[in-house]
Amino acid sequence: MVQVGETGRLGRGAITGAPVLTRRGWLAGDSPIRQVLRRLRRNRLAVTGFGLLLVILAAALLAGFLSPYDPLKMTVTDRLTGPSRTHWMGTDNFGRDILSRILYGARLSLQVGLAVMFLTTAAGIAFGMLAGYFHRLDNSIMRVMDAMMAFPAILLAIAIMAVLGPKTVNVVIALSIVYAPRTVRIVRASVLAIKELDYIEAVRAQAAGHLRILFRHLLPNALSPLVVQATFTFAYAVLAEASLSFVGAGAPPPTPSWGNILSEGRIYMQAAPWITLFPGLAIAATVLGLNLAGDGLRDVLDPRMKT
Amino acid sequence: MALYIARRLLGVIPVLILVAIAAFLLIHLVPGDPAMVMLGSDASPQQVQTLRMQLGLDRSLPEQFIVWLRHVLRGNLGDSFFLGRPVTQALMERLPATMQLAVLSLIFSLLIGVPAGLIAAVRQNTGWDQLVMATAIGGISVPSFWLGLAMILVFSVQLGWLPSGGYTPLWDNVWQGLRTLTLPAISLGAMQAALIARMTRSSMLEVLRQDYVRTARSKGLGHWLVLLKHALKNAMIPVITTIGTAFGVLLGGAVVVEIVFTFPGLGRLVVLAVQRRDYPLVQGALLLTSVIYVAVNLAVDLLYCVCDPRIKYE
Amino acid sequence: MKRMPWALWVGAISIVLFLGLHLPGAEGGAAAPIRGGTLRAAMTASAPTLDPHSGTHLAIREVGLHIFENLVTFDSRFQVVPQLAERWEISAEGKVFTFYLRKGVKFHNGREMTADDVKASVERFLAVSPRRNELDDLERVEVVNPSVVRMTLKRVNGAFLAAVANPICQLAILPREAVEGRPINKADIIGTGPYKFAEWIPDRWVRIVRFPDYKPEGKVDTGGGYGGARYAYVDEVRFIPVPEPGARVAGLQTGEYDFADFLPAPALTQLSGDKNLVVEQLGPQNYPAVYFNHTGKFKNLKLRQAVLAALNMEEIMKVANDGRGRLDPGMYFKEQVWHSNAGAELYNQKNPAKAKQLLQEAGYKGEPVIFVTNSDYDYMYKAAQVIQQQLAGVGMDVQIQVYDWPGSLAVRKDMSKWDLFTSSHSTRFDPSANDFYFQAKTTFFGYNNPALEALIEKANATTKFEERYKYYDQIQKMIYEDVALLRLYDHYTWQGHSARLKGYVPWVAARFWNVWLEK
Repeated sequence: MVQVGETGRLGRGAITGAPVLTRRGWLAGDSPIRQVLRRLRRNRLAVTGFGLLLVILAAALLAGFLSPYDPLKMTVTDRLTGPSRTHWMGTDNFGRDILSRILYGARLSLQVGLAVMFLTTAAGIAFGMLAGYFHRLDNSIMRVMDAMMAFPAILLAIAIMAVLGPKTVNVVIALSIVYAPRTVRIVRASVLAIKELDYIEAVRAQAAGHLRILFRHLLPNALSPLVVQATFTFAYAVLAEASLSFVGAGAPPPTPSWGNILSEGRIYMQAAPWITLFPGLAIAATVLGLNLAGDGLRDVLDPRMKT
Repeated sequence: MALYIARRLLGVIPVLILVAIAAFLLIHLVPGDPAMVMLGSDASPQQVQTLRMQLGLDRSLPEQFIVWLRHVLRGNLGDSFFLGRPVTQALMERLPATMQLAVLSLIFSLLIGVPAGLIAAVRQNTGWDQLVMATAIGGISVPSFWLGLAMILVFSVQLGWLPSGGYTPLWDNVWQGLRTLTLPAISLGAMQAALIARMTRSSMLEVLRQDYVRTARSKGLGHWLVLLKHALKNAMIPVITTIGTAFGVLLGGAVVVEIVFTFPGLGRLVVLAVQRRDYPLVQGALLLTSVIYVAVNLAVDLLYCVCDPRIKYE
Repeated sequence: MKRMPWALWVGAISIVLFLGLHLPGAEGGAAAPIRGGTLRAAMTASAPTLDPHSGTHLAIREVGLHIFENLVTFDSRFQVVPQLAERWEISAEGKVFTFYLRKGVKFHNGREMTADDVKASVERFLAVSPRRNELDDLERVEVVNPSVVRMTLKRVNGAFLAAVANPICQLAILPREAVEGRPINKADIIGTGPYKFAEWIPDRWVRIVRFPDYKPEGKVDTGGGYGGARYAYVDEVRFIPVPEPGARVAGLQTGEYDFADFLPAPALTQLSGDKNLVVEQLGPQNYPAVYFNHTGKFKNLKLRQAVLAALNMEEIMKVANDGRGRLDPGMYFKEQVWHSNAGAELYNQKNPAKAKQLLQEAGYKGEPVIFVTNSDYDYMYKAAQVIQQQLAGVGMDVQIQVYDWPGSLAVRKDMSKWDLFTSSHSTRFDPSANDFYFQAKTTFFGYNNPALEALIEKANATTKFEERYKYYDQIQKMIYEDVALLRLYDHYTWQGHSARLKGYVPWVAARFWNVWLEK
């Protein structure tokens, strides 16, 4: 929308193509990405979400600088002390500083979340496009996806972790397997939606190879829902990692993860509630940020997609 | 229509077979076996091997799978190693509890989510809308077990209003049953309530914009009558789809909540069975929950078609 | 009628007083027991089976010891006392045991117990029980007459009577039709105890009800134990598995449960203030232990000594059990007649300098040490983490792997996959119960020490307490000097119950006889 008093260039809107007055600066320009970023900036939800995520990301990256203590160091005499000047978030059962553990835990949760997000997106693109484009593969692939989705997510994750063994990398594998089917469905749906369109027929008539059609023409259509789903998958992964650690099937100690700080603190809930309070808040804040960002992206990329 | 139903039903079969294979493989691939658990950590290797042979665990995996599958196709899920009773019976004993929890959670999320979404849609962009949406998004972000723990701390331990765990079937004692189910149902349902609120709001907004709604209003029918008759029915369609997935989520997400509240449901049974490597029970339970999930989704899909005749099905 | 002489009156009154003082429960002193009520007990785990011969799991005997009885059992001081056998004789050379059974003992199905049932039960135990190797020296069991059973051994075995009495995977006596030919887990749950089996809904509860035809024998053992007179005052006991410690505590506070087993240490302060509850400390119930894999890098004595030197048991105890425990080097607890202080100077050295020195001498070059622990027993899990930190402090790179309990057992079987392993030893009723750890044929951590095995042989070749004690004292010394395994600390546990529950004595495991519920 054009604001009174704004100076700038006349550009074209991304989806409708209507004239849009834009500001100068790094957000100026016509490319679709720039236009998306501009619209995102105006969306309050998205800004809050991404802002929150940036803070958490910064905390994770700078954990080494920001942590007042070594997250693994046990000072048994200081155990179970509440928030104080020396320990802003108190100490846990082993005498470890919780703030430091939360900062390093952010690293783990974000790493797991990002890895799962990338893996599911890759799987989604691969299998979703295959299923949507090649009708013969569609049935088999989707039956497998249906079977995977028929299992309760957390049970499947627990079972896979039990098979693979207690390592962080296995948490990523387990959660990617659990959440991949949703992404596959989305990609497949978007491929199906435009597969029969005229211009695809036209391109095919030009004897363009399958790969070219898939990646140059069909994939871009899937990008919007993919990106939105990616943020939600990230959120599910963070929550699922916490749940897995809670039931004892997550990342191994003594590496801090928000989930295992919560789990270890559960037994002290009445005596030392801060141990469960702060990781819970951290998880909620991250998931909140991701949800807001995802909502914002959805509003901006394709308001028709609102479900 | 009948053809569509038939095709959908047929399509379910390969899914169930895949589920059976996955359920079998998963638990068998987990290191450790029930013989060691049964005999305790001090048993000698010969004792363990003898027991394994008695349980039929010394045969090859494909062999064991075929044996199990044959029994399943005849309706026999086998006997649990640890519970000394047929798997079907063990599952049926737990199913009512899980069903009550899932249904109650769903009712809770619908009771909270649908009206909230409606209000937000009708009062779009006002304070109500913001409030509802903020709460909703908060509800999606909070881990269900954290919510459960917090509620136990407040409502059970501090205030003593509600029990912290356990279960009384509703048909034994409605009041006590509701008391034991309340906190777990809320923990489980909170996230679903938030999702349903958001979905109701957006689908309601979509419908309200439609021409035929505006026409109806202009015809002078009562404000609320318009809403209820036309808009609601169409807005409910995506919500009904959500119920299908919500049910699946509830059956699965129930696991962690069941653990927090020591609720004797299917989720805890499966986790315990996995811990003890009770192969027939794990396989049977995974198969059962998957079948329920597939069945519920099929029903929802068919309901979807009935509700909206404008939808074409391939 | 003529007036009775005053002597007769005095006599009559004395008799009445005498009888009154010896009525059940009056020995305790204060209140008289009340019959009736249902005792709802929240336990930690679900029993995998109720068949008493089938497993060593704690939950099996928690219920089982109320339903079943052995020929002989242990009293509160861990001495063997009569139960179904009113007395026994050991032949001069020590190879023949003759048990004289009590008469008129009824099974829960109404039939009277005879020597045939004893023989059938023993034979079935030998067929399926994981503990049957303890009776390897048993040559034959004979029925001499309906109330006398004779067991003949191949050679003298000092631990035989203890094996018969052992409540862990108990040698319970069941009717022959309940056990003959039955595979593991499949015996009928029919015993001779003060309670009989009523109902089992797995993972919901086990219900036992009073057996009206039970006749308690002897005196009430006020210190604990499994013997003596056992009265069932409550109508019914419900064992409810509640694996979540927080849920057990919460249920106790709200009155859902009358008894809760294994209370978590953090809950104790808030529970002690509650006037409706009683918190009982269950002496030391077990001690956590760490096993070395003697076939791997810990074949090296100096490396093991380094670990022993580095550990600070007090710190471990503080974290793993909130400091509630006792530091003690003994393989048996102070409360047991078998306790010894041999090797005490090597226990709890907390000497990092010495540890570093020993590491150097051992030639340790920083290879990763795999420490397997489990998520099911949180004190083991916590102890492992503290140990890892303490060893990191002296330069040892320890990596922890967490599995669930059966998963960790599966890993333990593969000697290439671990170096250290956490476990715990619950109360041993007889030192012979620890023998198999140190014998090359039966050990599961690769231990091989002929000198120690020779000592074990000697201890088993005599039935006299003083001699056996001497040998086990030397064995303990060797365990420390050879660093066969690590014993961490005496782990106290707690149980809590409603103030309405009277007569409860905490001892080794939950015992619900001679207890009653006040209104």
